[in-house]
Amino acid sequence: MVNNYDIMEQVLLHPEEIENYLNHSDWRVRYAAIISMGETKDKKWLPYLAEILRFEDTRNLYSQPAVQGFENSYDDTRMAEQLVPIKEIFDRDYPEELREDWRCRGRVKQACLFAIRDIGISVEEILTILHTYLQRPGEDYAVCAASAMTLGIIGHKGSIPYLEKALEIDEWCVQTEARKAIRRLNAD
Amino acid sequence: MIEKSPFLIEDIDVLRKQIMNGELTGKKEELWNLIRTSSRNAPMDFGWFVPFVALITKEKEDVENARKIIFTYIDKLDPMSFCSGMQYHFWCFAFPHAKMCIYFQWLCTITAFSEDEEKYIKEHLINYHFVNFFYGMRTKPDPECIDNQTLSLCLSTTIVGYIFSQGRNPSKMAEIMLREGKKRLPGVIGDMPLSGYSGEGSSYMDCVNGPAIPLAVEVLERISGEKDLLFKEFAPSGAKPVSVLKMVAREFMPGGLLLPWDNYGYQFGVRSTLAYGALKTGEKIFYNILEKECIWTYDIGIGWAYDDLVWTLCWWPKNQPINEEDGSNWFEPAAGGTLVSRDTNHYLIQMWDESTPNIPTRAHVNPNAVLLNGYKVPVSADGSPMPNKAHSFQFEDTWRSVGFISINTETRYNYGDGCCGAHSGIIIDDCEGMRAHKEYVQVEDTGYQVGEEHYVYADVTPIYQENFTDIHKVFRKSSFHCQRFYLIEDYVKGENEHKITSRFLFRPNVEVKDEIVKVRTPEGVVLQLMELLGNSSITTRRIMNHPFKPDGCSELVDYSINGNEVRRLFLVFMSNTLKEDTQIVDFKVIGDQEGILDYQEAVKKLDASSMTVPMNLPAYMETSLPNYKTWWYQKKIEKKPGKCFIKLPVGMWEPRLFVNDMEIDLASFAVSGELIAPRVELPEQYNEETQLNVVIKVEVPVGHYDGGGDGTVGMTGGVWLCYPMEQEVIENVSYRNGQIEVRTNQNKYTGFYHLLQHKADGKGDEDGK
Repeated sequence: MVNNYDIMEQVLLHPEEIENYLNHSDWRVRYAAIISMGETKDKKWLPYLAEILRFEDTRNLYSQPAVQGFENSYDDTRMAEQLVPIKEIFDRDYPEELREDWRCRGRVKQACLFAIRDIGISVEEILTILHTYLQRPGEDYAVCAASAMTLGIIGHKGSIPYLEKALEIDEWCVQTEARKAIRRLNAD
Repeated sequence: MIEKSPFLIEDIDVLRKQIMNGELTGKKEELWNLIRTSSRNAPMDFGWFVPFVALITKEKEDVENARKIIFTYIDKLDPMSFCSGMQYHFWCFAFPHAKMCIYFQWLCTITAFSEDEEKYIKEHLINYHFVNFFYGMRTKPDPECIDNQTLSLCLSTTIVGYIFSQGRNPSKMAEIMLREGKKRLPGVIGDMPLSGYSGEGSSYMDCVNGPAIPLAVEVLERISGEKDLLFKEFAPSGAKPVSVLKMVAREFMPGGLLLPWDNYGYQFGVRSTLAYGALKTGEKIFYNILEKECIWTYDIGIGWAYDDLVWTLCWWPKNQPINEEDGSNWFEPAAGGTLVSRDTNHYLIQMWDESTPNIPTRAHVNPNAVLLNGYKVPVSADGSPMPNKAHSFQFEDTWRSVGFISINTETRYNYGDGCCGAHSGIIIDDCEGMRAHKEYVQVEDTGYQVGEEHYVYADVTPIYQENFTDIHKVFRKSSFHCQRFYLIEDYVKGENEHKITSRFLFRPNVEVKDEIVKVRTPEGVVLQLMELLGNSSITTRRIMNHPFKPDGCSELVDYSINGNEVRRLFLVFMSNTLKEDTQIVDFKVIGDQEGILDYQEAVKKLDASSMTVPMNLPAYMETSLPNYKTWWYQKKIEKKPGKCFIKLPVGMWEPRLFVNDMEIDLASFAVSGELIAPRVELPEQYNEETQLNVVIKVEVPVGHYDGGGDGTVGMTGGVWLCYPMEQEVIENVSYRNGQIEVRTNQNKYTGFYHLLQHKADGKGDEDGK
């Protein structure tokens, strides 16, 4: 398993080094760098965050086929309890870069959205991205929920139709965040 | 990382000394022996016991086994990332991850790893939690999401953050996780319902919420330096952690099975939460259940980790309880109340816990449902259906398809079993799929009294009113009389005429004779049910595939009549027909390694065997024998002339019973025997025999995981000879002027019960209560 622990620690301990790691090949490092951005609450990161979100959209985050099985285990929550050697079995070999996308899914995007929320400043370009997430079929529910929550902080009345659309997504976290955001924006 | 002493163990030196110097006695000694022998006989099958055994003994072989477990876990992390469970149900993986961090820390205190190994493991544990479970915690709406999932995520993030942000080389990732985890954890506890019941059923109360509380309290005390957080009212709603522990204890019914309310149904309970409750509160309810109702051979994940028995041993108190009241009679205004006899042979719960609007998958619609248990055997049926089998409670409008359960897969399921019709309550106009469709308070009024008068009632009109706008009143009151029988009063009033049904779901089998419904469970407990007021028509129906446990089916009994005002009064009278006589112990035993012996071969080997065991647990837990799956036991016993029953251990897999070389059919216990000890009637030809040669073949789980995630149940409870006893049968009942008289073939019982008086608008007046 990729282990860039020291770099992740470094970027969190020294925000001044964030820029050095924004294009790191390991998404975990990028994830740590983005969380570090959110910690600074500095608006200078907003263009970077928009760029990262655009890049994440080019990855194959959600294309993982269901595994054919796991040696010694299961493709469900029962795996959580097992202290046994396991191995995933796919229908064929997949390149490591693609497998990294699958491990990541919406994690980096969610980190970006929360960093934007923590910075708390509205930028139209970013709002457009967030609105898109709420309409995109197949987007991770963690990303949709974070989008809705962030829109509640930085969105405007124009975000409400997108949030109302999100209420139709049959997932409790997304619906809850969308409902909250609508309430907040209507109150403004 | 915390370095000095094993995290969350109060005093390791004292515990180690007690265990290693043989100072443990009784059940505690039995428990340590079970943990140690399982861990040593089969470390990879009992991995969750292994780090604790190593910590206690510090012996080279135990430490090596523990190292292997930790490295196995680290190697598992990457393949785990491709698992649907991990991606969509990350809370199930977060909690065991935190447990592995605790065990890693324990092992570091006995220098189980080199410096390089320690660094390697630590980095992987922190990194994985940061990108997977810290992420997971942030997906859950704050503060709205209060359930086992968020509790698991907030607790595990706090624990991992705390362990690795302390001491030498503290981690920044851990520091952030600790900060964010501890920000949310108290609020998740504080916003639990004041009753302590999360509404998620016994399974999640027992396996996640309950076990999370001791860890949460302990870690928050260490972080904050505060004491007695267990009893503190947490903001925002003032819930106390101790209420969750109490509710875990209250969910135990006499006989050791948990309330089958809400999803998952009857099951055994976990133990460490009770041990912690006993240790910290001194209340008898925890001691009683721990010592009398719990079994050791139920192995299930607490926080998705099979370490319940480890924590039970750590927390089991030395002191005796501080109070006399056993706590079996309880009432929670938001959940329900029980009416239990002093000998616990008679048990009724009436419940009204809030159901989930629209999709009641977990918190079922069970307004005023009653569950009955007689002589420590469940008589009512409730729970969830057999997986992937059609059943009567799948309604057209309760199908749901979702795409967030499994990667690239849409899952379709029916939540009709969560609706009103699948419970022992009141049904209006055959609307079995009744449920709430929005948030509101579903209960109007509740009450309870224990003492000379012993009753519980609830007015559950609101949820009916949402579905039938002209309904003014839906009320049920259950009362207990003479320590012997129950009365259940139902009252419904509306503007218009409706079909009003009082429904009961029972375990098989049911017969109706002379207007009396008789339920006779496979274990010989008989319930007689009579309608004293009203002249409803009675219909019965076998429901296949619901509930799954204990019988795979149930008997539905409906009392129905049309009207705009309907009142019924039921008498419930339970009797036993069997008496336990003597426990048979000292069985000869042989292990059948390949599971291939036939009866003749097994008997020959048993004759030659000198190994005897009490047969209270699987043999490998009672001795140092290997953890084989198949075992044969033999014993010659004396019996009294006449009809005789053999009570077998509960939780036997593929059991076979031979008496005097003849096999006895156990098919009728094939399903229920997992949860309820079979009472097997010997054929008539044995009536005059006074000596029996009993041979039993049984399979047992060989590790934590044999139950496929639903928990394993190994045989327990021993073998007993039982004889028939005369059943107490109702001969005559009269109810006049508030006096109820029940004559049976053995006794006469006189009690008093005043019907609730209702005003014209359907509202009850105070005298009636």
